[in-house]
Amino acid sequence: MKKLKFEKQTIKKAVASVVFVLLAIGMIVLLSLFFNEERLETQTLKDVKPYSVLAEPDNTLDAVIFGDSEAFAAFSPVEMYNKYGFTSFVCASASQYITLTESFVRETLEHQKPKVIFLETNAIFRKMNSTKPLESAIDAQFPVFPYHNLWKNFDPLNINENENDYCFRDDLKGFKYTAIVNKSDNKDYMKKTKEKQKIPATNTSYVYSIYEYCQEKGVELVFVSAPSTVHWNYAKHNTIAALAKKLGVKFIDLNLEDDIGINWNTDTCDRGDHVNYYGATKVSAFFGKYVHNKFDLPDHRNDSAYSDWNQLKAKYDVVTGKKANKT
Amino acid sequence: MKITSYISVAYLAIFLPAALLLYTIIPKKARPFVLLIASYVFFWFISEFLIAYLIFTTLCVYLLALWLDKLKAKRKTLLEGAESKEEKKRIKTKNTRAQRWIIVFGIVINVAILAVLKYSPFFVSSLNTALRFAGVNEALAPPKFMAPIGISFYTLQAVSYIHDVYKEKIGADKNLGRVALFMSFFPIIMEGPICRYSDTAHALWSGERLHYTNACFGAQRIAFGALKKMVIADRLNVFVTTAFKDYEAFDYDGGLVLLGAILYTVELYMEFSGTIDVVIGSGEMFGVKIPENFRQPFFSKSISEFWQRWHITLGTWFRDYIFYPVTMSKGMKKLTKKCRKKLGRDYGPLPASIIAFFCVWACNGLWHGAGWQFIMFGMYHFVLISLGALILPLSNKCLAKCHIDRNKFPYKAFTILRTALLVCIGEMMFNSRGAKDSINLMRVLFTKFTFKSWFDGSVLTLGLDPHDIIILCIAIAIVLAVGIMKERGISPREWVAQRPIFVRWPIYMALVLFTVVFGAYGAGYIPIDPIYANF
Repeated sequence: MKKLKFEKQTIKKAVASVVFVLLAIGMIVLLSLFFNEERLETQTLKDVKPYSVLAEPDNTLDAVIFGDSEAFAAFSPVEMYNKYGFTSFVCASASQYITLTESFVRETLEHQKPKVIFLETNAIFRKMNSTKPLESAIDAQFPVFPYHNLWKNFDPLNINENENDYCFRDDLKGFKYTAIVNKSDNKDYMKKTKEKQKIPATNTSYVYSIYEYCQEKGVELVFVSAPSTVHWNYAKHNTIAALAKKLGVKFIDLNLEDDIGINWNTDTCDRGDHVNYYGATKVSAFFGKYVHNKFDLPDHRNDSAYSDWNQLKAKYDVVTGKKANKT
Repeated sequence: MKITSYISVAYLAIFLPAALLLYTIIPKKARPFVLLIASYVFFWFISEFLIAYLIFTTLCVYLLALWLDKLKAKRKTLLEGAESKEEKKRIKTKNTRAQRWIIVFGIVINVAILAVLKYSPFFVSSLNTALRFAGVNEALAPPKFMAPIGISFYTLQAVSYIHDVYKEKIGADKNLGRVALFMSFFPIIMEGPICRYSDTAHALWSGERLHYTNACFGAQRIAFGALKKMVIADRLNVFVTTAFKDYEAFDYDGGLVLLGAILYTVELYMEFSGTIDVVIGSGEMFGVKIPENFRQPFFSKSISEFWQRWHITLGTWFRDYIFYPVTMSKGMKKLTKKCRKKLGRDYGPLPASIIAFFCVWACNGLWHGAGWQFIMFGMYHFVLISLGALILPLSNKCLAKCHIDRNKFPYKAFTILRTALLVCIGEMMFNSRGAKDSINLMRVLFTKFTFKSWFDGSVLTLGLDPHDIIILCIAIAIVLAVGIMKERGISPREWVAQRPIFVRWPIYMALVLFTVVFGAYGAGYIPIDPIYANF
């Protein structure tokens, strides 16, 4: 009798545990109905810069740059627009894994038809935990995980006084401004070698996936390496050059372009890891010219449909000028 | 698979459930081996080939403890057979000397491994600086070693085991597997707590079956730890990193530096205690009671009380294995006797205590990291605690004369706030980039102090917006409420467990969903690395 009672208790507890777990999953599914990509298109996140590419009106970007902090530190779409008139966006976040890049590429190309996309190459080498693909799969099934920060758009206390400021299209178009100067002593970081640095196998499969998706969408994929004395070297250059050759894509390594004129005493904010605003201005001037010459992108500067882009210069000058004065 | 934190998909969604499942489905006799294998696999994931150091330390203390036990048994036999007092004395002296050599060897070899792997670059660069000052231009190249994660924790456990065997508090364990599991149990290996053999070894090896209550309580503790880390600590990370990195470049005032120090202290507490919640919760699931490492530290009324509530297992380790041995040494006893005659009962024991405090805090500072800022951090607490002990009789007299009651709320509130502020200043040094940066932060704090930046919007430029601030306030209020309940002797988990299901379940569900929605994770956030795993 006693044994039977014990078993009944055990079954009751097991059922309770299963019901609780199912309820929790149900709540997460329910939350995913409120926190997902559809809600993001019109009201995006201030903190999560790469998502704001989805707030751009459909089919208005001529080029998109994907990558990690090296990308958002080095490329300024506003600078490039002001000089050459093509529209672009930097879809990048700090320490971004290639899994996330791949999902950003897919989401972006659902809404935009750029002629070319650039993949900044640093993230290709970032070693991922083997659980990253699982995390990506969970994110795909339960959008509340990647889009949970949308709660900031629910504004019962009216914190977002200026709605445009919050539910926003990023005025810097993904570029992150910093005018801090912290020089690098490692100027001789691109020593020629025949060695290659290995790309983790899982990462390679994501690069292939990006390449295939671009092919499917008819968008040209180009590899680009932003200047960094900390994260870049010739062995990495060799690997990417070989990969580019294998896939038949263009590769431009800005670490080897002396014409940019990077001065590692003044143009980096963190001892060569990233370029600062002054470095980004030089990189954007050079890179903008390269993109303009190679890809024949349209000039929208006199196009009234792009009037919002034409107004960005003033805002950009305020942000960069004001902060530059502080330092 | 690489596990970098206990609060990660790799640990919480894969490793821990797999270990629990294996543990449940196999027979009782094999369960300890599952834990041991899981612990070594975990250590491999976090440190790979450096696992060799853990194996060496485990074998070393296991064999030395057995040797000590053998000597003790031999002494007993010889003493039984001894005929004269002189012979007994001779046997005791010889045997004690042999035991001392073993314990000294055991401690020195393990501490030396820790010192070489972790501190030799710091010692060499300090030596180079000293040589430069002395006019010698030759510089030694600082060595580069890879230290396994958790070495500072398991080394202290190893020393405590062999010392406790020497002092006959415990007997040497003949079961190598049990000693190995005590040294390597996967929930504690990365960030502690520092367990004693008598706390956990036998419970770990008992192969206790999984209980529903333990599993539920363990899961709740893990969920609460995740809330602390993901909602509070990771959210504060952006602000703290910016404040400490950019304070010179953007010419922050002392108010902003103070806010950075306060928020860093909150971040450190939430990260460390949150991780410890996950650790204790994991242990609880296997039926193992891991010692508590925090007891509401921000309710402390003095710095010495703070250190009895913060990182408790480190504090008790230093008390038992440094403070007591120093104060109880022959030299210190003589000093106390002399001082008692000259300074009286109140102040007589103080010189010996202050010397012991110095040893404790120098080691405490160094244990936290190889850098002058950590030594400064240790010395800062040494000065505060020593001053506290020195002025205590005087302050008691002053309070009595002014008719201030120590037990009344206003005085208690004052001492709690004063202690919290002193702790924040200490943590500011702790988070600096070096001694020079530490001094510079102090300079900005005390020479450029103003609250202007708190109210002119500067605070909102460091990565926290009003939404973040609201969520931080709510989450900190939850943690505070739990702390107040514990201070009043109420167990929050027991309290919730006694509520009816339609109250209990929504509370559990809310705890999980609050972290899912308001956690600072995903694109745009960089979670802090486990801070204490680097020590």
